[in-house]
Amino acid sequence: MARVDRTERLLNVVFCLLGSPRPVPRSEIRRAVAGYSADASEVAFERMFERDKDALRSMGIPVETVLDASGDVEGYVIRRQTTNEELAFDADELAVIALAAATWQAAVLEAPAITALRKIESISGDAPELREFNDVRMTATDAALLPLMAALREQRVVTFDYRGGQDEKAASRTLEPWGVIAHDGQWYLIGHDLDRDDRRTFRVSRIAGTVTVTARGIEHPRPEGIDLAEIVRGVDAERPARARVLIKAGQGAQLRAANDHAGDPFQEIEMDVSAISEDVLVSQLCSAGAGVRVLQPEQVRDRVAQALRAIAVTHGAGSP
Amino acid sequence: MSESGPRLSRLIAMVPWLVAHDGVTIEAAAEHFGISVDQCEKDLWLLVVCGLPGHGPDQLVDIQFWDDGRIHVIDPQTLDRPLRLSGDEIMSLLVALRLLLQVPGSHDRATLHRVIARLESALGAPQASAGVLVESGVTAAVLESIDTALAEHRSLHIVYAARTDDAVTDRIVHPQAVVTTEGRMYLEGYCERAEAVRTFRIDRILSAELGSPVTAGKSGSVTSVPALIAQVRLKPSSRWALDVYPFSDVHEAADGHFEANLAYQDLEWLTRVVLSLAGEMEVISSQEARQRVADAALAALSSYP
Repeated sequence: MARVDRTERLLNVVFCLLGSPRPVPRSEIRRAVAGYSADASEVAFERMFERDKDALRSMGIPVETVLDASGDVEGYVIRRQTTNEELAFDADELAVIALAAATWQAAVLEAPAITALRKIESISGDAPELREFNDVRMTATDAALLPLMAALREQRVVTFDYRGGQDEKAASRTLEPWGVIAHDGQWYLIGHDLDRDDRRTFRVSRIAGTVTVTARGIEHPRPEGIDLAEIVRGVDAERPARARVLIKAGQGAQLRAANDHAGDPFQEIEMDVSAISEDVLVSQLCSAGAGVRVLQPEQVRDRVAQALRAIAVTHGAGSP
Repeated sequence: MSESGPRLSRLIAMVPWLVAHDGVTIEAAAEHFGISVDQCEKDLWLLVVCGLPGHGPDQLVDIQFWDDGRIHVIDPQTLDRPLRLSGDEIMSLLVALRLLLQVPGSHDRATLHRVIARLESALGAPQASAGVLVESGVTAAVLESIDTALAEHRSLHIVYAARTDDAVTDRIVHPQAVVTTEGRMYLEGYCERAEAVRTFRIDRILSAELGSPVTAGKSGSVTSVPALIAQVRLKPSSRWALDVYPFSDVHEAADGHFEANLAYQDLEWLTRVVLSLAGEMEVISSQEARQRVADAALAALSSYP
């Protein structure tokens, strides 16, 4: 027989095990599946089959190991669905599932979403044509998302190389993942960083290369009451840099929003603002321009005035 | 794995779908699975050489597709019905459904909640399903007002915190559609103040109150403004900004500064970026942009005599 490629071999394993009335022993799998070459050594076959079994499981194909009475492996089986219940959805439900699958246009999660929809359609009938009232698209070009999602399901430690900024070299990180969150056009990964022994947030787009899902289980699960969405919004971050400012009526939209100002935005207001560092605070205050006046502390006020003066001068405004 | 994974999942899902769609054309099947016609034919050829152990003629998957371009599954072997949804499949749907929950529009939220609950229980991993989230930053009250305004064709009175000029404004908008670009949501509609169609980032709408029914006629499409280019010089210490703003043609000068082009559509926006970099970036051209930045800095300085 001609050389059998991996996909074909895996497909043959599926046919061999799927719906078998009894567990199929390894020796029979080796004989029956085209692709496990007869002249390969026993050890080589074992290694190949172990890898194939793991690959199938990681694709979500439930290869079950059946033990005999004495605890030895009797064989393997992939059980067929006995009912269609899990894949049966009504017309309204099908419509939202189809809409959901369509949001992944050309994104890394598109293939699994489409396969899911087609499986459901095989049982529930065709999804209605999408009405084009919305042009809703998810962004996810990050290949790292799939292994991260697998790690979340299996509660495993992941390792990856991460570059903190464009000027930094990628460094290896070891993380117990708690979640991946889409926010403001980015994907964020939050978890317990084992090297730092603390919670860390990562931008998935800055993960360099592949994410490895290790065999190690996680020991620091997401603490109760932690809101991952709030973490990515930076709501609960420590913001030690502070200043007292006067914001003019209808101005300083970003400062008001960043400091959770709930009052009337059309009123002038004196309020406290804070940021994760003095540099960031100075940047925010400069950006607000004439809409804001820094009252205190003196150091922040001086830095803002100095920066504005420098900007005016470099852009040709004589000497103010 | 990474290459055979999606293909294998597709092949296994394809057979029962073809059984349920007897006589479908190869073109239609390819479109439904998001692949090319050529790839679809390759998939079908692979399927017909696979089957139960022994590979006798009646132990292979039997699919006919070469006569008239239509696909007939004669014998699906054990693949007459689909396998369960995999973890990746469930999670990719869950994320998208959670996004839809936060998108204004006419889709049925009760159904969304029902499907999400079913998929969560099918996944059977509460830690994992609680760990894939979408955070749009849109408040429930704003979402509800936009929903109603779109459904009932009513105007909206919005308070909007613009990023371009950092000002809060009051506007009456006639909503037309919701669009997402780069993962951010925008409301598109005719703005009475601007007397033109405008887009508003939904997470910057501070409040939205329903107004009166809107008569047709004031619709239109967004006039797209071509991007302008400013030449800029950035200090080495602000290298991080290259990641954040739409720079192009970045060169590192002999003194370590970066010289680059920065795309912008609105001078107000460009001015805010320069101010926020607190002296780390200089606009070289245009002269108009330089003047605007200088004026803005001087205006802000008047607070600090």
